[in-house]
Amino acid sequence: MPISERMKMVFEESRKKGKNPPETTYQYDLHQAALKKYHHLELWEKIARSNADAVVNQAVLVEPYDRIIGRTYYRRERKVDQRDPDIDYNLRFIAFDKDTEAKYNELRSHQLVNAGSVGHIAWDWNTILRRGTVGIRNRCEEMLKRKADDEKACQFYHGVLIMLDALDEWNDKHVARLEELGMTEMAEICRRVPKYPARTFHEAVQAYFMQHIVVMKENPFGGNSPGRLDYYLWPYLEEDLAQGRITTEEAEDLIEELMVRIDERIFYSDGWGESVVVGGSHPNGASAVNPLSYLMVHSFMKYNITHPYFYIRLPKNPPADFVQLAAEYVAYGQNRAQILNDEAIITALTNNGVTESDAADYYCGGCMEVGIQGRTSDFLFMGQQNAAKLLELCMTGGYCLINKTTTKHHKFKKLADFDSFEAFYEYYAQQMKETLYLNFEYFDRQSAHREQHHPAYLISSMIDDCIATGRNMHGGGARYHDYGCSVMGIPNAADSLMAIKKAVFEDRICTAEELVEALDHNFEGYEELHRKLKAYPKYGQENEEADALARRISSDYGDIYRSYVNRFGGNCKLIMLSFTYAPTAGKILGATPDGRLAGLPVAQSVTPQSASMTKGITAAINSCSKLPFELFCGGASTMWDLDPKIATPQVIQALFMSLFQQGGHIFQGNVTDVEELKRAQADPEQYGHLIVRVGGYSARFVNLDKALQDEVINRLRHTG
Amino acid sequence: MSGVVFDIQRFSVDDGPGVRTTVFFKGCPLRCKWCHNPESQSKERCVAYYDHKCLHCGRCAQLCECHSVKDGKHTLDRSHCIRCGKCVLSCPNVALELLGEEMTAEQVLAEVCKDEVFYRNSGGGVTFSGGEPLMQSEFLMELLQLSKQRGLHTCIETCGFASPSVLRRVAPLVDLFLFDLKETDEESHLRLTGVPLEPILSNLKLLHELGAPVILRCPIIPTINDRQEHLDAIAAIASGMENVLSVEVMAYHTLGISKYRALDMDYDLADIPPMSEDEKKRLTAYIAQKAGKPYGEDKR
Repeated sequence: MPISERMKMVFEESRKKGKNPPETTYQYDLHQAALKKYHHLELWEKIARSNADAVVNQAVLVEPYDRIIGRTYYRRERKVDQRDPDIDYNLRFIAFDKDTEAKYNELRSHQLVNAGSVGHIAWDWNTILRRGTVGIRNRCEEMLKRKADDEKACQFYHGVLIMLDALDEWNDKHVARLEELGMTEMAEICRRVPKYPARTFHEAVQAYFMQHIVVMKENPFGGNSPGRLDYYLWPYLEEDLAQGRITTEEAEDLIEELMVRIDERIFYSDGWGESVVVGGSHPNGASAVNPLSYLMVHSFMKYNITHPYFYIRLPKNPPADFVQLAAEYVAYGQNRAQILNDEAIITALTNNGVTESDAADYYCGGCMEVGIQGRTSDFLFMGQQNAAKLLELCMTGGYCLINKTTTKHHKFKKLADFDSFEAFYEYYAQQMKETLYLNFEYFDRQSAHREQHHPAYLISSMIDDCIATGRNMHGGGARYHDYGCSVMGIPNAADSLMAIKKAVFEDRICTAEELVEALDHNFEGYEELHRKLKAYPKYGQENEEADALARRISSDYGDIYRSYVNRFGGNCKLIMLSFTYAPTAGKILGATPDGRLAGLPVAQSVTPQSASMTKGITAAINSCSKLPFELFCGGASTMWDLDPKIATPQVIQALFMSLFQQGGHIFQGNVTDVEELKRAQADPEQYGHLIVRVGGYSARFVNLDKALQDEVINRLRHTG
Repeated sequence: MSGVVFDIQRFSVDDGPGVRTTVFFKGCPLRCKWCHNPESQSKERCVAYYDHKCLHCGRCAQLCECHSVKDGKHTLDRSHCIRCGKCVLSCPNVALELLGEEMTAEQVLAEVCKDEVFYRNSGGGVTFSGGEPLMQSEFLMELLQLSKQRGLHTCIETCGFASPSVLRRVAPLVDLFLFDLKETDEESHLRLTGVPLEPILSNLKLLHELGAPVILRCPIIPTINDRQEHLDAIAAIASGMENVLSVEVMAYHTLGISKYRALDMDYDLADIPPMSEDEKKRLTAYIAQKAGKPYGEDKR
């Protein structure tokens, strides 16, 4: 179906609004209320009431043509001149002792630890659709009686009730405005939802959007996502269609209005990811693909917008036409597609203790951080480690090849200290553990801090088992209390270890000192050694030894993550993703033993390095498939850049199905013409429409910084 | 048994249906003026020299008298070269390459089978190309038999110049013939390819009799064989054979010219510009329409 006349108008209006949105006052009001109105209250209540005030005080923005009500905007906050540190989640929080803190900061400067970012969560908003705020309120009141002796729980329930009241009150303001405008149908819908259970598809969509924009104010963090939009909305549409209450065309318009409005709120803030996963599996493992899954992807493909991302989950034994749609989406979807393999991802999740039926509800938190909708906290993407940089410091004795200084607070040995490759590798793995554990402890500290200072009442009320336990999502309420953290540069580390093994320990073409010396000179004056190092086998060429090394590093990371026991008995989930980090991780990395020159980007996630994929994409996919995906319980993305000449849906389908049948998780494809990208770089105004897949998210090419643009341009294009 | 191949190209998407691996046999009975794989012509291995990679370090010359490096210029005396390949190993920057490798059928098949999963997911398989695969007929037979035992879809890319008895033997093991028709005028064919047209047409008829599926592939070289009569003659041949599924125009390109330099061979057609995508589409559509054969729109 082409875009309807009405949606053309709505889309055009939304572009204007997105470009020049009004200032929003949430953060300003929040801090003002906390400092002036509620400063005398206990912390838990101060936070609840200040947030509630900020919700209710928001402007009521309605347009006469709206069929979805409620407007807030991202990144248009009024300047907050006075902040209450009690509620300020932007404040950096360090509670280590002085020595540990010095060590942490030093390791942080080398990307071995870092603070990451909260968010990346999909909550169980379906609760509001099914029960309304009334239903959640009733449950809290009942629990208040049952847990009257549990002070912490009572505080939590009261906090939730305060936020639900605020949501209802702000919604009522919209009802009044709608009545003023004579929009009786919409007034009727908003009188009903989100307060009471939704009865129709339109009510369900409205309930969804209203709670979405309020939750996103309480939790304004990147990667917070709708999750399974088609799965939870379909029963309403199915019933409406059966009763003849709506036509497919009307439903399509409504879905398009929803996505356009989500995009309007965020508007061109590329890198901010709100993602939807369509398709997927039922709790019993059967395909959950429904007509809305197709409709959403088709609708999204009609628009040149970047939010919300629509990602496709392929269930076990997927319907053939759904697989075909996925392939068309990669080929023609303006580089916004990401295809996920349920079978392998669910295996990785159950492997880490998630029940099979819960695992069926996984979502992508923004990019591809895999969590369970409504059952995990928002500590899903808390940081990353640069595996290649760690290897550099383990070789050089902590001497940084870029800034030419040596670490002081964390001492490293050097390659020359080891007389066998095994001994060196063991040391490297031990350093992984030592540095990562420091990072994980830091997450624990942040979690404890957040439990007090960001109880997130509204979102917690839609996360199991917060209401049952009376604890917010950071206080132990989430069913799966795992943190998530990624590793960058594993392919680089694998290729480098392979070169070290061959050059220093087997062929002995150079000593450890000579190798480090050559790296320190970025191979200048060491051309012959450089050529020989480049010629060694690499991960991605279906070379058993090289692939085994990549597998070994990945497995060791998996084991280390899994072995950590956090303050709630959970562990840390290993995520393989890139986001914008391929160039930033490469920038701080000196020349590497595999022959890569200093400062060049590292590989995309676990995709082999561009320079290593000399045997073509099928060999690269086969190599990649040998990694222990069953350990990547936070999800593992792969990126494949394809020459437009060969990127037919048929070829793309063969590529992702072959990756999936061999156990891979996530396929991201980019179909771009290098010459066109270069023209866009030179003449950005003419190419505002051009969208590229960066790494876990898609962005307008011209909005990327030069380093990222170059990285996208210089990736290897696979051709026939 | 073993044969000589000069390349095994995985992820081929233009040599038959789906994702394929193309095995290039060395040796060809034709000498087409536009040949873009000059390294495929002789049955023997050969040494290629890439000027832009040469460091002029002289290591090859130290090792072998056929090489000399003087005043920053490298020369290779091919008349005395015994194609031992030692020079290739001595070269630090891969400026020398030995083209052509003796491989057993099992070795080739092991390489081909690495991508079985991709064939399954795309309706692809293996394509034997060249050079001319029918020139190494016993080797080819064994490869076809092994491929069929593995259940692989098989294609042969052939110039059609071969003994009919060979063709009869391989035909039952080939799922699809990619059959070249380079010229339809006898005199021109002989002049441009070095062999007569008649045996090729007769082999094409044989495949028709055998009911073997064929895609005709026609290299069209601007100013050389882009005559209206030639296009019409191709269409006439195709339309008379229901086993010819479609006709593909192979657009002339100049990407192979650098290989002539690397092999110290002469290239006669140096001044002809490559054919545009649009022209290729136009010619393909024209022939298809005239021959009454399906014409798939461009893939993207």
